[in-house]
Amino acid sequence: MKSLARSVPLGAVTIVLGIAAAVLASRFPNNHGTAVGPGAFPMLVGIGIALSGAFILIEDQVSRRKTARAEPDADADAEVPEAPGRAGFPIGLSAGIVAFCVVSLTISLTLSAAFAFTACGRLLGRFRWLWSIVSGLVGAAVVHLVFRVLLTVPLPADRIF
Amino acid sequence: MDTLLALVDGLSVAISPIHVVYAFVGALIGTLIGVLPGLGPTAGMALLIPLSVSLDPVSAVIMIAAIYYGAMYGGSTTAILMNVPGETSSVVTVLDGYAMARKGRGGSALAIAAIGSFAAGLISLVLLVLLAPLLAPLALRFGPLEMCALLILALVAAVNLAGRSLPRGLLSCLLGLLIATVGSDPETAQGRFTFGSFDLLAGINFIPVVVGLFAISEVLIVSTSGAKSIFEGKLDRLYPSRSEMRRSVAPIGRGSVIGFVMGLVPGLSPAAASFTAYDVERRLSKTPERFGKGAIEGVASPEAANNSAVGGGLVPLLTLGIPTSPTIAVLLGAFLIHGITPGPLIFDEHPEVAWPFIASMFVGNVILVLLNLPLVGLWARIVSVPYAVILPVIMVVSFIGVYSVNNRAFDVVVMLVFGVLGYVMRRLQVPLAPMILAMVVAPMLEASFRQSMALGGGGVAIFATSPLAIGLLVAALVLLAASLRARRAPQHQALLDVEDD
Repeated sequence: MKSLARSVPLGAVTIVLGIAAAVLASRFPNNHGTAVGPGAFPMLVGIGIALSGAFILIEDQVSRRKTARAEPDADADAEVPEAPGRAGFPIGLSAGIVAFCVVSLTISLTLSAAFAFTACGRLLGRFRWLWSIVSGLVGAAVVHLVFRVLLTVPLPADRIF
Repeated sequence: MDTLLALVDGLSVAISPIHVVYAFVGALIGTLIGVLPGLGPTAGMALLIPLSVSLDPVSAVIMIAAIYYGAMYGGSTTAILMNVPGETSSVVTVLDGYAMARKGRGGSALAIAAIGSFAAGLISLVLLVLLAPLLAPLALRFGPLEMCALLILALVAAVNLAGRSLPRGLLSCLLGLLIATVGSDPETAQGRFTFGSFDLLAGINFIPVVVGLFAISEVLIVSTSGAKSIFEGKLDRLYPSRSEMRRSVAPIGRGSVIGFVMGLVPGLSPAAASFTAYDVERRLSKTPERFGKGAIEGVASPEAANNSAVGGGLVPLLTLGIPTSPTIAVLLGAFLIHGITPGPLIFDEHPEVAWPFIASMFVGNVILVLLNLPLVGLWARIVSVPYAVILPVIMVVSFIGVYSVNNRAFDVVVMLVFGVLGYVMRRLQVPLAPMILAMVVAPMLEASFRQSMALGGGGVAIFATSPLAIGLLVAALVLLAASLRARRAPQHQALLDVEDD
């Protein structure tokens, strides 16, 4: 039996989150004098979350002991493998997705779509610059025509196109 | 005999060319709506109801109903091919459908989803016609106690979707319940967990959460995988093999019955039906370790269940006038704006609408399968398109789907937050699916819990007064105990360890 990824920090954070939710919920006033106020349900859920955090820690300890008995040298904290050289990629990509949404909301969805297609083509697909830019322009044109012109989906105001 | 004659009469109206055209248009629009994340059947039907005002009542309800089941099928297409569930009931299809697509068997998954939906549609319709008068009173027996117990049972089933760690499944489920309590309390309007934010007072919308958890986290996950496309290699068969078809027959039958029965219960969405059907199928399987890795039964059963739940949900609507889900409520609206009130008298007062409406679902299901099976090859090739093209498409469609529901930038922020949360949860091996079901049922669960407590003067002993509620709670406990026991079994642990490796 193997331990799962980062069980100790997950369990600890979960316990803190559960207790915080339960404490906050217990402070919701019941001004209407009903049998069960607005805080009762979230308080129960908060307690449940704290308990599930404790269960995660217990489960981890049990599995560590079993692993130690079976394989004394085994490293119990199993990690989900990541492709070499791509460990920092999600942070950069998260920033890129945030930038895409900010530009879409404030300036132009068509423009941000063009950047998104170009950047993905260049960085993920390793396309040549020319093809990346072409894919960006085509992608942006399709997005604009399909969603804004044909389907007239309600979208943020476009300040450029 | 009268029922059969009335149904035949209805069928003769439903197969008239004009009504077939409306059913086709509805199924096509519904499929497109289902494919777009965020624009689920409820929003899609609500948007198109005003357009149906100028139509005659029969054409209008036929088209609106076709949008409904078209959207149910369309949602599974992106779930299978891109890990992006178009609507809630497709969330569970992601588990095995996407795994099949990654193995180059997306075509088979899509085809079995179409066949399963078609078969379930027909089965549920037969059950609707035969059992409606018998089953409708049962739905009325579900008071707050029984509803609360039933929802707890549904959540236990969802927790069982956790892989090797039950506490992680429990955590996911409870987080879903907690997120659903954010916003103003429905009874007292007291703000909960809003921290002074006006946006949070309106609550956290379900759609940005599901798009963030599945679509955005998927973008982040694949960026680290180094893979060039969802499937790199030669596509396998586009249609299911004989063996796959044979293995899917029983799951489709079981999923259809589960979906129909759960569709009868007010408040239980087709998503709950598909989750339960999946769980049942995994438990019955001799090789449960295949589930989550591309088991065709894991696609067939939930797809059948969510389609069958549509038929089940129509029983309380047509016999009692009770909408069992938001989508059915919109359908009720379509009837009402044409001056028809669904309820016990609809078959006497408006047989010219009620029976063609029921019969049109036969026609609509045939149209849906004819529309989608030939397109399987086209859809399945999406998995070979490079991620460099697919990922920006997912980003753009997710953004548009989330923003267009309420025209709120805040929903986009929620999507981003839950995208990162989904990524972290997947890295920490916390399952996403229980969280989604918990969010869906949380408002019903809290309302029924508080009503039950009010009935019992604040004590839980009130549950002991309802044999049905006790039975459901005992079933939930048995399910939980069985799941714990199964996870402790040495062969189960060995399988899960192999899975991790």
